[in-house]
Amino acid sequence: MMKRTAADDQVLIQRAQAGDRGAFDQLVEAHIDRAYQYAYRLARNSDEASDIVAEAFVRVHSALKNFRGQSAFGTWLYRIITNCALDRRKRDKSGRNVSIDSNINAQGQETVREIEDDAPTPDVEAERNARETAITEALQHLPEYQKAMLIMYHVEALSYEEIAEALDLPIGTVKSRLNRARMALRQQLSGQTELFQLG
Amino acid sequence: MNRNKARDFFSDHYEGLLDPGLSQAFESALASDPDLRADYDAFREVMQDLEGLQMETPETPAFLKERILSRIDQEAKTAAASRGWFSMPWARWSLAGVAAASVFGLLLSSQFRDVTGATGAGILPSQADEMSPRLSWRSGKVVVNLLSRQDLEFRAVYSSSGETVLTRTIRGGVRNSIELENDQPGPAAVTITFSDRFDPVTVVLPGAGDEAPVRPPVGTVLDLARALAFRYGIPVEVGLSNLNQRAEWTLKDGDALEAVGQSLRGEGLSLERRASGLLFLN
Repeated sequence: MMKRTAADDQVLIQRAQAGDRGAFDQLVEAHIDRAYQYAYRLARNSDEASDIVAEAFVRVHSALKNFRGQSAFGTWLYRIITNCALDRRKRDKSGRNVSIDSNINAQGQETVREIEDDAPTPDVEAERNARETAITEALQHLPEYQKAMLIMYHVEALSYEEIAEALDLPIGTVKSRLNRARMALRQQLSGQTELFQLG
Repeated sequence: MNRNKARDFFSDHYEGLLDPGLSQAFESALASDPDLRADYDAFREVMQDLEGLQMETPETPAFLKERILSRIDQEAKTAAASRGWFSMPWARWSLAGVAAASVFGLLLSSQFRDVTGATGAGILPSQADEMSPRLSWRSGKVVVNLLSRQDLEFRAVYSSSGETVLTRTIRGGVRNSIELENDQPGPAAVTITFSDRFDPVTVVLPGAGDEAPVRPPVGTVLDLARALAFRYGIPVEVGLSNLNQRAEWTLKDGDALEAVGQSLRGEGLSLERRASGLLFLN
């Protein structure tokens, strides 16, 4: 979402705000891959990530007329995706786990749900992979907001300023909350003494 | 620099963002505290792993764009169908409730502005974006504005004692404005929670009278916030999670905010006046 220039987006946004549906479709096309990657990294599940992105673009479309460009479109989209992911997590906590339709294919026959194999590969990078796997796993146990901030900064490579815009927080608050999130991650990993040898 | 304070600086030191004085104090703390040193070394390892972290880059499902666009088409049709009703200005603004209460000297009133744009059979979830709580300072009241997608409980407790001051149910899908006013003589520190949906907010409201808070220029950051609220008559939002963090300060009558902010930097704190009218202490 950060590769395009703001000017590229601004032209499309102005056209979309004027009712040009084709311009909005181009905005979706331009941002859908980064949006999906970010949503997937938050959700770790393809179905959930798709739902989050779809909901996010519906919200974008609904609110676009009020978008004044105070932040980059991509940054705004990060905020909306983060909120959609938080909403979804809340809903999941209040009951839903897996749709009862999820094991039924289009012909109504039962299928085996595919489980991703994310075990570390047995090669020379096994330890590094194991550490990455452990970090990725530990991230999933952090509060959603902390996880989102860590992914934005360390994976999506957003700057402090961009995160501040995306989450509507002062930069100082972003820094202090990121510090707390990293401490929380370290705490999560403290059980993995073989890999991390924490004090 | 004590251990807790030093931990607040782990990231800044790792990224080389500390000014020389603080950096020196931080390194002295590390040198004199083996546990803190071990803690920081472990933190550095995690940071190094985070820097090399390459989470997988999944391919966007082929159906996703089509799904997005068809959902937007569907939502647009439904919005058009309900536009007739909502084009009437009085109907767009639904004042669902106005309440005022005085509990332990804290006054509260709330307004709800309906922004869902949905009505009748086949109600759609709100299309409006969620808005995390934003505080502003108007006519002697702290106004908390928020928009949640779901109902939640607004709970205000006294920050020091944890004693509940008041609770309100906040409706999902509508813009909510909750006004807080402190009619006690001295500043009141209140922490507001939102059913874990949003981060808690701590704010110190200036008092209605001239009862001064803690006089000695040393205490917790919450004491500092009380002193600031009293000195300037402006609410202070506290962005620190540890409200018991120790701080030292001096507030002289002639001190401009900028000068106070400057002096607090030595304590690792920042103070800024926001466009919303509040002071923000972090």
